[in-house]
Amino acid sequence: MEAAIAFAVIIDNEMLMKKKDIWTALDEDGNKLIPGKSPIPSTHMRDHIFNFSLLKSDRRNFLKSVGLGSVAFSLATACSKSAVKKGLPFFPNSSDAKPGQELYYKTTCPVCLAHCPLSVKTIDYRPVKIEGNNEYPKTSGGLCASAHASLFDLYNRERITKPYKGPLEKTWKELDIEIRSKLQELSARGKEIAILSDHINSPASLQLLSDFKTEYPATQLYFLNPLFPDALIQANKKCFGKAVIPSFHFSKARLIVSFGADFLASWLNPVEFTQEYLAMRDIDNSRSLSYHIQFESQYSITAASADKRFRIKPSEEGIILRALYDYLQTKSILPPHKPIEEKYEIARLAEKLLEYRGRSIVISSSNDTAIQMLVTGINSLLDNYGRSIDLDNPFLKIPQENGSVNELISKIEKNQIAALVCWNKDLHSDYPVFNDLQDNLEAIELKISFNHYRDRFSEYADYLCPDHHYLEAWNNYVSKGYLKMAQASIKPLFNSRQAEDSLLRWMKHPDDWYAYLIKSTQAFLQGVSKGNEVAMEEVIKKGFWEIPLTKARQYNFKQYLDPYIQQLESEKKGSGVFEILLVESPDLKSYSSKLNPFLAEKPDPVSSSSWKVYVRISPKTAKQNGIKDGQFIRIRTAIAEIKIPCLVQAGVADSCLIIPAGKMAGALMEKNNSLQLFDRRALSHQKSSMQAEIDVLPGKEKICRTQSHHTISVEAIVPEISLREYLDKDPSQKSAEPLSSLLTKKRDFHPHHWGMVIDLNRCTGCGACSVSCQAENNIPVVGEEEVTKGRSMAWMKIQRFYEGETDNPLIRFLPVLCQQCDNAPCESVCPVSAVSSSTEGLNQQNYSRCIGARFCATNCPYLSRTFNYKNYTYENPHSPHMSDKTGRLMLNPEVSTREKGTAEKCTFCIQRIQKRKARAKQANQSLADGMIKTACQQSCPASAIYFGDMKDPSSRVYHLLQSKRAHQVLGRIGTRPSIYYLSKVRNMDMDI
Amino acid sequence: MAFCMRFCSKAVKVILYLLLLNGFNSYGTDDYKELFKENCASCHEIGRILTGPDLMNINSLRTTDWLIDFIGDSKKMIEEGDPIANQLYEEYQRIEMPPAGLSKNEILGILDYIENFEVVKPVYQPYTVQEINKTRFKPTTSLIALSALLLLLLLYLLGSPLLRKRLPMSFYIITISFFGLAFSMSVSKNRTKHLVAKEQHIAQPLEFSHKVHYTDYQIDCIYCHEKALNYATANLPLLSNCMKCHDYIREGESFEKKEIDKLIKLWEQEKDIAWVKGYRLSEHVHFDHGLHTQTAGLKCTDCHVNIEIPSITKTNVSMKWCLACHEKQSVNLLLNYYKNVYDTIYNFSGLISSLNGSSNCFCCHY
Repeated sequence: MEAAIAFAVIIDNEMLMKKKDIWTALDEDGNKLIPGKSPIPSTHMRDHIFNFSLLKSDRRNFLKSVGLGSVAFSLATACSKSAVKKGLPFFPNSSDAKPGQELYYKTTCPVCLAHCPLSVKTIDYRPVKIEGNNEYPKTSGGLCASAHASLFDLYNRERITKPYKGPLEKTWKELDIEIRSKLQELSARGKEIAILSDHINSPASLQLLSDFKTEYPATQLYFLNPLFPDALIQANKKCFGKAVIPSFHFSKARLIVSFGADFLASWLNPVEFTQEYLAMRDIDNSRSLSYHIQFESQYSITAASADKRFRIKPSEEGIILRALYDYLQTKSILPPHKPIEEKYEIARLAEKLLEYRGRSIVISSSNDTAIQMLVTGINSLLDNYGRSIDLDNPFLKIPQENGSVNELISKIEKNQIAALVCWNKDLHSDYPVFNDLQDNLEAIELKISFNHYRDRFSEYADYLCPDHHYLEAWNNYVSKGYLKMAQASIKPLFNSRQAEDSLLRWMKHPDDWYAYLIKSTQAFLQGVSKGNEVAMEEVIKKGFWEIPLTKARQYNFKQYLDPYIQQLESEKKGSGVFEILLVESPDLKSYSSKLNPFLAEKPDPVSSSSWKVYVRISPKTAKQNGIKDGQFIRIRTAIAEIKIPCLVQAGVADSCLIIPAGKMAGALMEKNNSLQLFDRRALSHQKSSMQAEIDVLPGKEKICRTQSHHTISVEAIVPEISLREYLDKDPSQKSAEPLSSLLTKKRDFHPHHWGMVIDLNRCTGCGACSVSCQAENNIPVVGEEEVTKGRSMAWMKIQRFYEGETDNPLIRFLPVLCQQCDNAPCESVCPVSAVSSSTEGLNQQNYSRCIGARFCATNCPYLSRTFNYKNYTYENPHSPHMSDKTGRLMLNPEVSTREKGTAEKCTFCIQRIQKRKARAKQANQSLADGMIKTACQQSCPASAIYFGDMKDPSSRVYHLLQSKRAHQVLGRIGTRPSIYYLSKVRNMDMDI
Repeated sequence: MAFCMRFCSKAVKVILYLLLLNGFNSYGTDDYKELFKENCASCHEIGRILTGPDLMNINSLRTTDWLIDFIGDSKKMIEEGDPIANQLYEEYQRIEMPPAGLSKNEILGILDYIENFEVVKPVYQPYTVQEINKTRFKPTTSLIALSALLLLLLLYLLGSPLLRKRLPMSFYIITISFFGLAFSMSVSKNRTKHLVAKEQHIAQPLEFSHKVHYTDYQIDCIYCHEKALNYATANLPLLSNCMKCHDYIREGESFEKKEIDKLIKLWEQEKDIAWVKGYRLSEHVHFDHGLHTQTAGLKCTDCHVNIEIPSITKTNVSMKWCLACHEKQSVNLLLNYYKNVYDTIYNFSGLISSLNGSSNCFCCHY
């Protein structure tokens, strides 16, 4: 009986797969590639292991097979001599210092504007891993990949370690005297002192800068951030008189319309937005979902989660918005908009928006003020302000006194600047306009750099005063509703000094920065908490403090939008010209402008490219212009030109060139041999896109991507269901056990059976889990050459599957890691029995026994195993943190490093499991659910991963296994994996 | 009968005589040495000022009566206003000498011992290291197999065509594969041997002797290695721990002042001793001391045998030896940890640890 049901399920599954049109890549001619069905140019080791023939009786082959075999067998195991090791006693710096135990310090991440609270894990007085702060209710401990990777910058040997005057080393005291006298002299002459930095969100720093201005009245603060949402702020200023970025409450929105805004990955506050967005898509606890429509030209991961995606050109954005605005005002389609309406169903969308007045959000990431004005107008017509969009408790406030970088540039051109202080900004890399002003820059009398690394500016700067890394520094930040503190987790490694401290010294202020910060924070808290005493220690220990919110008011503006509409009309583009769009890529958002190997190697979720910057074009455009994957093209605009390789990406708008931008883009493009960096001056305001011409160049290179290899069969797809189907489904009808596993023996597990449930409804594909796993488990970074060969070492991979036509496919993400099969195919094929299964359900890889035969990797149907082809842990130029003495401090001491010739895979963070178990046993407690968190689970911004004991009836995992969405990947082949995936539910019919 | 009586009385007389003898004779100097050690040595040394003044030639400095009174009850003497007693009291930081509780004879005996105290120079006896595991050349299987392989290869390559033709190809295939297999198996059998530290004499910066500290003076292991109770790594003690005693113990029995002088010098320079590790586990082995001492209830000496042999690598820390417990030991099911795990599902009267997961690779290797 059971067999009959199981059989039925298999047939059903296969027919389901046949109906769906699922593919993983496009080949050279634009045809779909389906692994398992079409021959894929695979670089996986599975296809190379039997490359030479043993059967030829040639003497050469004989020697190859015999000689290499026996000698390689013994030499592959590295002989580690039992070298003399010294032991020093552990010196406790306080009474509760614990050797080898972890200690968490709460701080705040400064990498982007979101300022997520962090919890930094330190072992033996040094930070080893960065996690999100669990107690912060908005993120629930989630963190993006950039924050995890920023730990690398702390131990980077390229940091400037001491203060310099030109090429000479100086002490801080000498520098202070010289600089102070120079500043006084310049100030007396009335010359301008310019401080160029990123947007400063810290009340203490702002207070310090205003004090600095009182001391030196000629100071002016400029800020530089090419990807800053300038237009959004301008629109709000013009409409409501508030120069702010409002808070967007996605948890109050039933209908979300996004015009190119990648709010789940890179726009403004991705982690919090993800949590709020998913709160409205919680299928387990409510019967309805929000509805999300995305209009965009690039394929972002937000679109992958969306219910409906429309492909538009950047020039069409204004037209669509105008049509929408007119419909909302007049409730009818005006004749000029008819073609747009047919294409994009504007009327239907507008009706739905009106139905959900006040419970919708319309956003755009465009940097064109006219478009943002239209968006503001639409939101206002829908009564969203005061409800789902909050202007009174904004996400970010802009102080009025800041100048923009363009003003600074014009002043430098006129030689009006006498002193320039560069604060964590790589001038020439972040804003290439400075390249043209070399002579003017060198003529500035006083040039001071606070940067961490040596760059072009440091070559001719007068003084190098290196700033602390944020993990060595103290600061405070304010964002919507919270005051966030940042404290140091490690004593300064080198002889650097915090920039704020330097400024205080140069003002001859009696306090040092720490005292100043505490005073300032106390004053701020007193003002905010209405006189209640707040203990500073508590605030620092917790990491954040809640500030009472003001009530959100409704705003209605009466602006005349016609001039803006006319502006957009005049910018209509013809159809033969290419349009460039710069999109902010979350993988290029790094703490410094230098190359960060973790972020560089992390594959882009949609195109799975890594290490290089590629321009994305659609398959149709590629075919029309005869461009293949990896072909170099030269893009010419009115202002600059650039040579860059192409990547054919399904789903991108036709005749569009999508270029990813970010802080690290410059460093990566240098590796690319793309000669001229982009001039973002023209793109930072006024126009959202630019016209361009392209020339196809003859050169072609192999694309560095992880897509064509490590791709499991399309049958691995976890079926996705629409909301209607899901609601109609009978809850008792669970997917029965597949037939083959009925034939395999079930094992008993004691005392625990570790399992994992990954909720695909929540997974956005961001890849933070992958970088977190890499940091936790000392996984090496292999470099672009090795990635091109298919040797990337990530234990947690996000597989991407397409569904549908090549023009506008649906994307599905599947995080794949070792499934810890109970009946593992990798165990039986190991020649030296280095793989075994534990009594707790884990699949154990023994690194010291492994001889490197790689049979396990070829036999694994999930392709989740990786192999150390080279000595990635030592002498690896791409992963300097493993080969360098300073960089090795970053390694997690709880996990061993693997050497050449060993296979490795996910271990469910066994080091965390064993540690928690040991602690529970010693404290004589029982293990509760949630005490053990794997690295991926802890850092997922969407809280999509759950780990726990499948035998414990009180655990979350046990409860989720009963869900009607639970499936195993490739369950029917009988591997009995321990990971269950919950299907994604999409709102495909606009049922809200 | 009469003879017995005479014998008994004689015996009694002898016994009584002996008793009297012992009663009136002074004890041997050794007994008073013990008394001195027990009662006085914690604060006084003969030849050095410690907490209390130097006792060298004390009998010529003070009168015996005064000494007996002072040792008997120094506090009374100070209160009564004795000038010498008060002067000493002020000079030695107002630390009272506690009453010894000794009889007059015992005090006299101690004073006698102090009088006759000679600084005896101990004979310096350096510890001789026995050569353990003298390595001699032993042709193992691997060498035999390897040489056979090479011979066969040479034979194939360099042998005359006539010889090669006589012997069929299958001969070479079979023999080479056999010896190849033997070679690789023998190599893999001994594979972990090089990971286990050989027992050898290692030169420590300081000749610390566990025999003196642990066996002779019976200082508990946890006194120095206190983190071994609760944490994964047992710590090496800080110098401040050593100085708790060695602040005033400056001379040892084996090496006189030599080694302790090194200690004092490092303490004054505010450095720590860089010991050479005796127990060397490979990087992929994670051992948790706290679990073994607290939860499993093992004593330190259960694993750290041969603690008395100094400057030598300790027990052969191989996996085979750990498996002796990790495979067969019984689990303590009374722990709260197992409360919800085993009591509803299983009803074990006794559970072997290997069923509980102690012989999993992941228990220690990750």
